Amino acid sequence: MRRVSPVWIERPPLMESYRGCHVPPDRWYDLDGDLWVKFEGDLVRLGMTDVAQTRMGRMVSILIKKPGRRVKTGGSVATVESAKWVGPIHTPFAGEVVETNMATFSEDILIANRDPYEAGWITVIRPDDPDSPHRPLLGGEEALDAYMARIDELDISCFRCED
Amino acid sequence: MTIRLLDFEKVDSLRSLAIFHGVAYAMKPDDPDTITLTRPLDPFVSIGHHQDARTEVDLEFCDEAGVPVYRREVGGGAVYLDEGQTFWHTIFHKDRVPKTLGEVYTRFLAGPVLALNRIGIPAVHRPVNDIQVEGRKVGGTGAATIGHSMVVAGSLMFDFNYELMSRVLRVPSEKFRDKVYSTMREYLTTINRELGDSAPERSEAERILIECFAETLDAEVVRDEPRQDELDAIEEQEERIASEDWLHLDGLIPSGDSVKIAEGVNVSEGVHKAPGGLVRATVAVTDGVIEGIVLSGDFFVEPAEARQALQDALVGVEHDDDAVLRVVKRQLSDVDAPGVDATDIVAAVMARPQSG
Repeated sequence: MRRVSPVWIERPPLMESYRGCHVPPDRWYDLDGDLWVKFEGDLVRLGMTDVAQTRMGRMVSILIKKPGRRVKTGGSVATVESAKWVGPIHTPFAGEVVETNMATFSEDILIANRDPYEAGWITVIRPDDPDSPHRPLLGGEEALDAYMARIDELDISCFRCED
Repeated sequence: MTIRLLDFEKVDSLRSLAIFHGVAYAMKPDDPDTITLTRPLDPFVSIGHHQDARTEVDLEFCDEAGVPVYRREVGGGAVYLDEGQTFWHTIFHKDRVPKTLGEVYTRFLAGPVLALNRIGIPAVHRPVNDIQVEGRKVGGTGAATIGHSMVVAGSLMFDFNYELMSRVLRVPSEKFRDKVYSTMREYLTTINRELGDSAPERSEAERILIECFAETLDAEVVRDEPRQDELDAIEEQEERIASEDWLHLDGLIPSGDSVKIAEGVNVSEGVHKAPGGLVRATVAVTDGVIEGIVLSGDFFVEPAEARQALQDALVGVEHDDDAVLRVVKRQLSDVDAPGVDATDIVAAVMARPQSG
């Protein structure tokens, strides 16, 4: 499923955000983990979605599993802390951590609050089996529909720190 | 709806932490939601999930005093705890709590707030997660996703040892320590401070707390015993929490010299090297306004009283570059301070921690 370009790219114009929450069409989404996933060759880059960063609020700290470490199926690849909550980030893939964005977070802890989809990425993993995430990944209109439903259910609007 | 109560009563400090971690990690989707109560028998220091133990805590002092230091999987700052508190933890499956953190706190702090009201303290929930009485915080709270559960942590704070709390922290200067102490005395209160002789017995207050959890969560709270898998998980957590690897977790982001006392109340210290010497500012900020300030360092001002006058003039001023600069400029207009100008003072007063 992942090798196929999300269909909505070919059918513009399509809304990419809802109630201020961005859902860029060039990603796959793990709804349970509230993460975005970007395939880069044999690797996957992961980060928090706009909804995730809005829900947790301004970050105060993060700890990411170091390159070379293994992540088990359903294992935690990072823990994030805001003023009101601490919790793990569970990856949809088992594999090996290849690269982390710890240096950027050390410089600017709010980077994922400002720019969750680009500069605020969290980790890059080499999945053991990139074709079989242990949670379903949604792309295209399916992802946007799912996020619209969730945003309505949560009754939230997204804010990024530069807003 | 039924909620299980596991009242562990008096346990050693390590176990008091291991209990809620263990019960949370043991929770499977069909397991009942649980409230735990524990009272630590011995004093200890609990540091936040992402704090660096060596930077935050005077480990040598704690070692000499026989006070263990443990990392918890809940955020926030280092805190000195002892038998003066009863800890409560609501451990609910993460699919059975409200969707937003604001609502999670509203739901789970309602019981503790009502309990304080019922024993005679006019406490209120100040969002996001403070329980306050007339602007002072009474006990701390936090939330964490641990395993499959959402844990909300808090305490019935009967007593609090302000002296040892400010002693165990690693602080940049003794002036900073004094400021942390006096700000804590002012902004943190306890059940015994509020009620004096009319404070209820511990067991009575705990009974009221459980009653109030039942009322506010609209559930029956039933006393139970921990299952074997929970006891095993608690033991596993004891081992992990006591380990050096967990205490000195690798790869953390260093924090700045700032101590959060309550929501909107911070003590921080800024150091700025000016041509005329080092300017050190210990600043207490409440809701964005300078509430107290001490300027020290090795710079000179003439007349000497001008330093005190500057400090006095900064109290009540917004903790904002422009506002501080205006006041400092005015105060320094008739003062001789070789090698130190208004922007140097502002740099020290406005210095912020690297993170947070």
